[in-house]
Amino acid sequence: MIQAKSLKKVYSTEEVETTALNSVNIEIKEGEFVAIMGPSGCGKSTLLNIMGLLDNPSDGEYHFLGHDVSNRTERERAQLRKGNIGFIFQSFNLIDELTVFENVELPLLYLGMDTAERKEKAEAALERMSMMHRRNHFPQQLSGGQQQRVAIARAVVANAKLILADEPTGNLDSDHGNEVMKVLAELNEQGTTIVMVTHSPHDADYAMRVIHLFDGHVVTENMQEGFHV
Amino acid sequence: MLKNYLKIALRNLSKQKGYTFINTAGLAIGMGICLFLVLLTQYAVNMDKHHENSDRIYLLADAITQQNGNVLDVGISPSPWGNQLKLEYPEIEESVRLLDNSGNVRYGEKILRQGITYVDEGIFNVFTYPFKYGSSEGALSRPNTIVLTEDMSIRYFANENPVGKTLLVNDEAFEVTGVLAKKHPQSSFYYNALASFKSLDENDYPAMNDWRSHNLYTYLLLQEGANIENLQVSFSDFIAKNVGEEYVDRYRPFLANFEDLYLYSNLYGERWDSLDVSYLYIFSAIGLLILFIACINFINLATAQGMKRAREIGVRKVLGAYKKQLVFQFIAEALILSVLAVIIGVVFVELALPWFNDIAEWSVTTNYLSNPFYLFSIAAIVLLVGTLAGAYPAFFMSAFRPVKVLKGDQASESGKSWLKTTLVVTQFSVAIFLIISSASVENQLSFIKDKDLGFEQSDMYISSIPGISTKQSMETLRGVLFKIPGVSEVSFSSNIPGEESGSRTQLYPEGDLQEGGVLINNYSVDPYFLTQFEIDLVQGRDFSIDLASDSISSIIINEAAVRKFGWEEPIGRTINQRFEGKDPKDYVVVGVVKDFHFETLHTSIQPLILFSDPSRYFDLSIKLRNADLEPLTAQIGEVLKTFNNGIPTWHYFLEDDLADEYTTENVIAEMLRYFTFLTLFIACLGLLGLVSFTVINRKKEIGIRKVLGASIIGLVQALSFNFIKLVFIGFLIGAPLAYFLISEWLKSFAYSVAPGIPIFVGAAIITMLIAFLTIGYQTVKAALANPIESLKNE
Repeated sequence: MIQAKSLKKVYSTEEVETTALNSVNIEIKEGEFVAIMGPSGCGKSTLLNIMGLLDNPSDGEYHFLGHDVSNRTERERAQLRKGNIGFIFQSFNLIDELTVFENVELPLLYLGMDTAERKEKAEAALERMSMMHRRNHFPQQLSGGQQQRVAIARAVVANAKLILADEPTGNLDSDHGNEVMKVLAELNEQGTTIVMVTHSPHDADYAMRVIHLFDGHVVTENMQEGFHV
Repeated sequence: MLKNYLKIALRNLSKQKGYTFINTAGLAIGMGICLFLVLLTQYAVNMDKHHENSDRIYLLADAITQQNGNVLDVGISPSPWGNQLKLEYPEIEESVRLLDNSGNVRYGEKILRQGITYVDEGIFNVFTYPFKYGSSEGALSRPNTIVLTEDMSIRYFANENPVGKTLLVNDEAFEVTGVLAKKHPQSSFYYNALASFKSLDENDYPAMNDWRSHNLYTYLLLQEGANIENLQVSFSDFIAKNVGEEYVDRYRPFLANFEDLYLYSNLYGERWDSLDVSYLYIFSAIGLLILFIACINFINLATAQGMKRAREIGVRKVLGAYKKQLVFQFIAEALILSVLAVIIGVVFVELALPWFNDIAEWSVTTNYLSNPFYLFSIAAIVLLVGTLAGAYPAFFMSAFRPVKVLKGDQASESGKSWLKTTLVVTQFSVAIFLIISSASVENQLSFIKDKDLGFEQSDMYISSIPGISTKQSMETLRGVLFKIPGVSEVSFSSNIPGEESGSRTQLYPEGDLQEGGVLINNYSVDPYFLTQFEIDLVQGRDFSIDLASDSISSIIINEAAVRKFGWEEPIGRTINQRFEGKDPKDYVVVGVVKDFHFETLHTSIQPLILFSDPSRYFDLSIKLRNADLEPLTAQIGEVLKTFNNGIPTWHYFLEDDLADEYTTENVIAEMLRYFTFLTLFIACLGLLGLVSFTVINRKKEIGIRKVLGASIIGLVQALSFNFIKLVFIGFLIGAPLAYFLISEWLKSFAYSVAPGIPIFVGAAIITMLIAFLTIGYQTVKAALANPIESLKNE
């Protein structure tokens, strides 16, 4: 599903050049659950952004679903992203002015789906996350765990093949964190590919494979016990 | 999708109440002012256009080269010209003369002094006047026929139809042949009654056949498609042929379009209301500036607001929104706000119009259904403001990079600082410009009010002389009035000083001007007039009640006339009055009065000749002693009523009337006052918005500074200084601009006072103070905040 070869990402300001990623090679197959770990500033989020087509690499090749997408315009990336990739953030990133239902419905709007279909899919996604009873609430009226469940519902509503999660439990207490991780594991069992950035070894235990990054390099790749690809 | 945008927009607006208020209020004021000015301009531009042929009507004007070489454009012309022009030029379809006069008009027991305009019968072919009673057909074709205005008809006949009834005008019978319908509000000129020109003979009107005496108004109706240029060029042949070769250089008649008279005319002897078109330009410019300021406010606040909404933008992008869709979304939001604002703006206009109509004596209305242009303006302003003001924030915000904003990095993507700087500077330039302008206008108006006009004006009760014109009856009236305690002086005259002088005559003074003569203002006053108005005699003597010859052949002139005529010894000199076909008449100068402002302060003091002709005493002035005015005026009213066959006479106080001479200036002062206030308000709103966003932006900096030991006062200073500096730059731009424009405006007055330093210093202090108060609250709040709050936010 994902092949990255010699990925390089350099951020430059007027005076300094920072290399966030350097010669990163990664391959992720469909149905995998991969965790990316590493200390702050090691390039985890940069890698996730490139995988999620939110950013272009400075150098190297990146193939997503068989397309070479290393150098695409913003519009083309958006086109490919829609419906294929779902995002989950540490800070949930729900739109405060929209209700739970409207937040979940939003990706479908950008896919140009009609009202009836949107309603059906959004409700199904909410049902799956057991959030239907909160459909008319605004994000700020929910607990952190509930907000993240809504965010997951939004990530899966369009049947994304890939879910990218950036420290999905970072803002949650351990109970709610576990809950979220169970949901992700379930999604993975149902066939969704998941790539998750995390600081937590506990969360990483849910993954099949853990990639360790350090200063922009991949240092180790471990297969977790009990998982076989 | 549109529904989603709308929903988000409305929720955002209701959530960000402060932001919505600042933006809506600012835009609503700006839009309201612009729409208000659209209506006023439309009203002024359409003045007199209700006449069906208005575009083909021209006033016959003349550029007269005076003895001293100066050229005077006059709106009056000699009586025989119009008709002769019509005979000679086929493209002139109709020509009508208008001669203003007044007389004692009597019906039964009712006698009132009334203004009467003598007109040629073709008047109804030229102007469109609907009739209430009777018809325009042949209404003034016979001598001694009269058409009344509705007002005059009511004065004499209440609600009866007077057609066929007879009015006595100066004891001559006139048959009422019609009554005009109510005057159209957009008429720049008016009549009281129209009498047929054929009623006049040479005794009534000595200059009737004089080809050189400019003293009445001639309006021409031209054929469709007539070539004005060619016509005007051929006028010199007309002068050569009819007036004389030697007058070709002296008289250069031209045609002034009737439609343009209201806004563009600057002719001597205007009998119509006029408005200097530059006022329309200035106010339109101010209106647009205010709207512009409100728009920059909007742009700035929306951009600053964008930082708060960066996350939403990021999420939308991650979920697959194209840039175009986001641009569209933000423009849609701006449009929604702009619709909201225009609704409030339209309500503003509705509220402002009655106030304006009252002070300006206009009747501007918002007739939505019959005024498509206004509706179009409303729509245009919404679209223009919505798209223009919405575009920048839309493009700015939609360019946010989701990777950055979702990490909370949005502060680095705050609005461009030049935009903020421009905003604050522009706003305060305009605000300061308006403060200085309006203070200077007020200054000038109070200067006028306080200026010594050279004659007494306080406690001066002015009325008409009721139905009497003989010397005996005047003396009787004087005697009765003097019996009322509180009446200190009484005099009769043709005019009241300080008011527009109606009468100018061609006279031929001894000396250089003997040959060509000169058009001179003149009054007729009785021997008590000068004393009563405290107008000083500098040479010679006043008129005397004991010298019968004074009313026939003596005159008093003012100093300006002495200078004009170039006389060293004015007393005993003669001035000649002559009309073609009549015996010339000599007048001897018996006295010289000190110059006084017999006209408004727009003009400098012109030559004036005082006659003492009792047949021209139309006005009665009574000087009252400082007493309780209410019962006194009532008592005088009673006396005048008995002399007027039991009909109450009108009266006014000179001081009030003189103040009315400056209606236009007062309206402008009033409008400027409001505009200044509103501009300051919008500017402060903008400043408030900006400061609050700056404070949010610099929250962390403030926190760090506080932790490091910065004092509250130091922090407030640091936060405010930049803004105050911008306000000061605004002053440096606005003040000279105001000075320049005000100096131009003051040129319309012959007597004026330049705005002094206190006005400029005052404007600077007021603005700085208001700006500081606006900034102060936010900065103090920010400085007092607990630094832990702002620092842990990382």
